[in-house]
Amino acid sequence: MKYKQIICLVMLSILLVSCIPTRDIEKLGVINTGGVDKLDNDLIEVTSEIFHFASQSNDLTRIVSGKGKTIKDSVENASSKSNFTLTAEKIQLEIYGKETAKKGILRYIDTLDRDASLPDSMYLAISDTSAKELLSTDSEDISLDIGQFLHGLIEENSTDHLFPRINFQDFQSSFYDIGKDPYLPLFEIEDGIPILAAIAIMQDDRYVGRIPIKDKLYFNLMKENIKDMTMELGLPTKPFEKYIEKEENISKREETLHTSYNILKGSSKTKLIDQENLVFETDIKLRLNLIEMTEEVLIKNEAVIKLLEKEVNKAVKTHYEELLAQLQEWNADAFEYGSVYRSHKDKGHQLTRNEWREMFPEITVNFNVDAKVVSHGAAD
Amino acid sequence: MRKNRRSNKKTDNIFPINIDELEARLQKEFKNSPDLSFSKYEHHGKKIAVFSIPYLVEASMIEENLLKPLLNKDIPWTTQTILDEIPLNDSETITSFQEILQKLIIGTAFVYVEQAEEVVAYLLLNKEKRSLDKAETESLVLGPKIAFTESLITNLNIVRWRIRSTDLVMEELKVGNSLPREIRIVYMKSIANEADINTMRQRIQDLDVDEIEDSAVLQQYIEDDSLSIFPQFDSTELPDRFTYAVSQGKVGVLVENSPTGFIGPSSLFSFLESTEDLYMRWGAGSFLRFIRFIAMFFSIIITPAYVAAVTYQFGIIPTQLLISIGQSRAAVPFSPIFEALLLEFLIELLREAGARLPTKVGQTMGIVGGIVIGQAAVDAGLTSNILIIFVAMSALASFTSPSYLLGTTIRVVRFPLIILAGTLGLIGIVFGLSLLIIHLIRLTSLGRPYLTPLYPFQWRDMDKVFFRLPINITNKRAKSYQPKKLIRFSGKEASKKRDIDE
Amino acid sequence: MNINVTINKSLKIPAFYLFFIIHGIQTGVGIMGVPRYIFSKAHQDSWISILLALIFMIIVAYIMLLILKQYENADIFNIQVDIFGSWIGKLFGTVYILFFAATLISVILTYIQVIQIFLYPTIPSFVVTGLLIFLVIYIVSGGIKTLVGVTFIFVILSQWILILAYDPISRMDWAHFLPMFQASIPDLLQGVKATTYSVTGFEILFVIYPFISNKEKAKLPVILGLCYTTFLILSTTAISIGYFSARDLGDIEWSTITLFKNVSYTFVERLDYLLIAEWMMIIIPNIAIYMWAITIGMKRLYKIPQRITLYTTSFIVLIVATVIKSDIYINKLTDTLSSVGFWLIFIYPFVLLPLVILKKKWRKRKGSV
Repeated sequence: MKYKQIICLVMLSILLVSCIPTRDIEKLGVINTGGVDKLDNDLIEVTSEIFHFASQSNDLTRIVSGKGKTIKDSVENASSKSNFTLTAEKIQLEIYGKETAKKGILRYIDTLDRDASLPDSMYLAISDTSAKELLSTDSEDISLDIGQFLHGLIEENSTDHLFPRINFQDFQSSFYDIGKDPYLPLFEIEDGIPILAAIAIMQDDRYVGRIPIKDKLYFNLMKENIKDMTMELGLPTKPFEKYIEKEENISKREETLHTSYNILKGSSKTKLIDQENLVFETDIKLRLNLIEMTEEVLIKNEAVIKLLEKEVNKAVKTHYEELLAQLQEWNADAFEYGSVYRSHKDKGHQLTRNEWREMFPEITVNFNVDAKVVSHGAAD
Repeated sequence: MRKNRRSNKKTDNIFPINIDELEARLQKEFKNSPDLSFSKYEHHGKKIAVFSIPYLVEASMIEENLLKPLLNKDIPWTTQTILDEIPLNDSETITSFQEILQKLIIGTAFVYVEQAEEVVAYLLLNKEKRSLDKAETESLVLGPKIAFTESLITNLNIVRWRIRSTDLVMEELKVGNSLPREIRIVYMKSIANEADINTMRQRIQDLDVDEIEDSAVLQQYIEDDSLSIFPQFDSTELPDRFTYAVSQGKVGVLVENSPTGFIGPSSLFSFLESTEDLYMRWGAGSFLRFIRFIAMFFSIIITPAYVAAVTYQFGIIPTQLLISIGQSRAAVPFSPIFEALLLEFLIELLREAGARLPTKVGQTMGIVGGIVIGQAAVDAGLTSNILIIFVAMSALASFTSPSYLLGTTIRVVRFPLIILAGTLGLIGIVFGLSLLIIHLIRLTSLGRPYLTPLYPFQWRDMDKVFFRLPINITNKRAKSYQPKKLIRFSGKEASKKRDIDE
Repeated sequence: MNINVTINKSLKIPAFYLFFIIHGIQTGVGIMGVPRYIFSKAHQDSWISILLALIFMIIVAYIMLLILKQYENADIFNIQVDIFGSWIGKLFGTVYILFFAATLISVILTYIQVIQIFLYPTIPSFVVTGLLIFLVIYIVSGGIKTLVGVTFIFVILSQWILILAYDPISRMDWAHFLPMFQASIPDLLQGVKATTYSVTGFEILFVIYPFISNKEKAKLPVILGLCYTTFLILSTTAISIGYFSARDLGDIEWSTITLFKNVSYTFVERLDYLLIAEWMMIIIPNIAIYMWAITIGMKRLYKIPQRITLYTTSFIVLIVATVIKSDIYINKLTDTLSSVGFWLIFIYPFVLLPLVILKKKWRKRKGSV
């Protein structure tokens, strides 16, 4: 009995040896970063940065590009130009050129979903220039290869799962969910070095506009609870006049008082108040730690703190209103009000994409900001 | 199978006989070997022969206690007066010639009065043995360092001194048709499970073999599944490990001329236990045990995982690591599976060479192997340096096993797993591991499941194998082995709490 | 034919292991794809469907135990022969065996499909089948003790997957569950039915019951096993609903595995690969129990030695699994099985129970007269 089993096992293993094609890493070109640009006449160009492991060469990475009708076709095309089999199993970042993104990126997303060998953890981003141009940046100042550098830019500028870490799964979720529009990080080349420049606002899968990167805080706050983040606010100097230290303050005062805070805890909550007139209410709660001020405001008593909090509330509220107005102009619901609306929808009717598209520019939102300055550092 | 007890006394009873004739007969048996000393004396007109093999008996004893009274006392010697007057115990009378021959070679001196009906035999065994030594193969940091020796008498002495109780039974059995050897089954009669004792005794008694070379061989003869690569008895050269197991209700076996005893029934986990866990405080003991479990798993899995990842599923390697693995792999002309097998083979060579060579050379061996060959192999582009680290780690991990037998098994298991990983990737590894686990579930030791107390699940025994608890809580013996007495001491008494300031 | 079977005392298992047997046989390939099916029926209220399914399952299990309790020590094959007579009883018994065999094949085929999609697109089916069947033969030839041990240990060994679920949970969007209570009653019931494919298997109770040593304690482990399976299905479904958007979840074939495509740690990435390989350990007890049930069934009905059934069935499975290749056939097989399974497992006991009780009463009256 036992012998039979052993013989069986041996036969099995002999059988197995030749049945699966091996994929030794030294024979592969492992795509790390991909860039997609749409060309004229229905062709797309895929530029990828690959790792290749060869004993003779010292260069670890290489940029290859290929043209084709589909992404896979283009990669195949690029593959035929290099002596490696290209595989995207370890792709970390996929970049779309701005011009390409304006026409919609959905058609390039399908393969990411369909091909099970691709990871869901890859980040998506938009390039202000064409993706090829971005990936071909060759600067002495970047010690890493460009793909790792861009990936690092995204990783280091965010915590947890917050923007700008928008991976494929996040994008897909925002895209497919009704009452939500995705937004992606946008890269720019400044002085020959790529920088994370802006938030690219998308309407469905189309790029519609950009918002400066420093506002990422406001977007993250709408999405999730945040903590340990720095926020800069410009407040009018006037209300603080009487608390500013008089004697030493000889130089002329600036119009705005610039302040920086560390957000200890920030959260937001949105409610639908009036379904008929599309009135929403968003409560924003901030617990702040004052870490910098451009004027010597003496925080001697509670009244100063109260005043400071009042001004912060006002400033944050105004900024949110501006952002919302901008989004409504583009008709891109990055703040996900549609999602709240959908959750309160009456039974039996499903909100459709187009309905919300028509409604979104009409909504009004009351922002209630509740900021508390919990501490003001080691100085008064 | 049952051993034939030979009762051929009738056939070869040659007595009474002439002394010269007896000498001739004996010399004929010991042809070509000048070992037999046959001295004849004349006393009160009677011829008396004293014969033995000189180096097997204690010469001084013969001189002082046998020859002196024999020649000096002024009485006529008969078999009966010899038995009465000679100041030696351990005497018996023998009539069978075959038996004389057998006794002769285990160190018996004989006295024969001419024309007597039987010969008087004195067991004056002079057995050369080494003195007690520190344990070599199983070394401990804490606890007794003494090890068993080749002398059964000494071993029994040690065991008896460690368990000073009339409860301790040391049953004697003889195995081997042509070259019989003494075997002792050691157990506590009020604790050990009767079924276990019977199984052990039965299996040893039923053996029908010509000879038992060593306790390790006996072990293999009486194992439940001799095709398995897993050891099914826990063998040890440490008396403290042996006696601890015996006192917990297991059955121990000691074999003459073997410095290792073995214990059954054992489970897979008992091979990973060291008595040192007991001597440590419970926290450290649990930690070390845990480390050993991890090490075994690690040792089995790491090289196959490397092979599977590099050959098929490189997706599981994080990008940074992929770059360094890729770069070191790039120079290697072989496929990963061949590379891994080559390196594992090299490590095994080093280990084997180290074990065979004298200690001093062995150390040099390690340096040559570890540094020179390892470095050179990478430089020559034969292996990647990452794999060297993995292989070295897994070899190291396999040496943490307190049982040398299990450590060897673990290293052997690795090779088929590497091949499976190289042909099927991750699926192959899981297949191999599953096969291994199923095999372990099917395996038994003395008829008891090998994976106990994991399966059959025995919650109360978890602290015996996987971790240790403070000593006052562990007041019970392992329930899985169904000892006659489960309780070691009253738990109530041990954990009684006094009030503050009482 | 004697209705009650006598089981050697050394082969009996404590009722405690029923938890693992029930859970082990219920959790197989079904859970890899079930969120999608439940969601397509009951949408964000799927969790209600699953809870309803649990209640339903517990009732069915209770009825099964009630049927079994009417006899001293009998399994379904003998009970059916007792109730319907030799011919029809054997026919029904054969239906059970065929159902077990078909489920076994469908489990293997589905697993092959997953391997081919995620790991090796070109791996021939007979290789995977061969590996699985080899292990199954090794287990089943070790007898029920080995079978139970494998189920027990493999179930425990695969629980680490739950820890990985931390990552998808942290990415969930709770708004996906809103608005609640939207699904109509028929929708919910549809959802209950969709749940059933992944929870078939606890009919094994009918077969394994005579092997239980302490039968009076059987109820609790069975119910806990059902609850634990339901808990897993509930959590994977809930995580899937929160993690994927509605439209997306409808598209994804193996949502439970896709959940883990995003998980990465500093020392290992692409946990979905590990997961699929590890899933083999989840499949093995599953198919081993089915195989064992087939061999026992054939022995009870036709007195064929278990070993012979084992080898023949293995061979047949190997051939069938190699021949069936197309997705469409596999899906058809699973669909048919889930509808047959629904009637066989969830409805049939309700029919059987009154018959068994009537027969018992009739027999008693006959005995007293």
